[in-house]
Amino acid sequence: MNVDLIFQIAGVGIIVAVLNQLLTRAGREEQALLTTLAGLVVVLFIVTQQIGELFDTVKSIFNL
Amino acid sequence: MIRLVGAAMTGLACAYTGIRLRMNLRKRVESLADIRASLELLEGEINFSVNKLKTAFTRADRNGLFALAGEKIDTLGADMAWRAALDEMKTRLCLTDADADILKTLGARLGRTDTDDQIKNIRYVKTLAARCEEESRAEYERFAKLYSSGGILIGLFIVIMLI
Repeated sequence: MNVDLIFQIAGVGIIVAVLNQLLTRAGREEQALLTTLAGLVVVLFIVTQQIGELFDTVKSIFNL
Repeated sequence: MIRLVGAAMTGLACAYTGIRLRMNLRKRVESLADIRASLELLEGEINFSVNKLKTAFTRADRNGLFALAGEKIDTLGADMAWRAALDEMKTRLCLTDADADILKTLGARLGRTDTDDQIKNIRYVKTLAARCEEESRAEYERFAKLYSSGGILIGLFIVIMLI
C-alpha cells in the first residue's frame, strides 16, 4: 500500500482545518465553508482514482 | 532535488504573497495616519501662516502626496492637482478607491473660498480620514494574521498536492 497517499490526505486535512479556523475567526464563515468543501473535493478526487485502480485490479483478478 | 527546490520556491512565493498583503494593510493604516497629520499641518498653514497653497502643501507633506499635489498646483489648479496626485499615489500608499474618493472632496474648496470655509472643509475631510483610519486599523487587526498564515498554508497545500 502507498503510505505517501495517507500522509498526503492527512496533510490536506490538517491544512484545511487550520485554514477553516483562521477564516472563521476573521469572520469569513462562507469562505471557511468553501475551503472545507474544496479540501473535501481534492481528497475525494485522490481517493476515487485509487478506488478506480482497485476496481480494475478486482476485474483483472476475476477475468471480468 | 529539483522537485524539492521547486516545492521550496512555490511555498516561499505563496508565503511572500501573504506577507505582502499583510504589509499592504499596514501601509494603508500608516498612509491614512500620515494624511491626517498632513491635513492638521495644512490647516495650521492656511490658518496661521497664511502661505500660498503650493508652499502650504509642500510644508505639510508627510508621505509625498501633498508634495506631489503642490508641484502640480501651478499647472493644474488646486482641485485637479489634488485629484491627479491622489490618482498617482493611490497604489503606492495602498489606499482603496473609497479612501481616494473621500480624500478627493478636499480639493473642491481649496483655494476657491475664504479661509474659514477652507478650514471647515479641511476639518470635515480630517474627520472622514480619521474614520477611514479606524476602519483600516480594524481591518488590519482582523485580517493581518489571516493573510500571512493563509499564504503559508496555501503554499504548503500546493506543495503537498504536487509532490
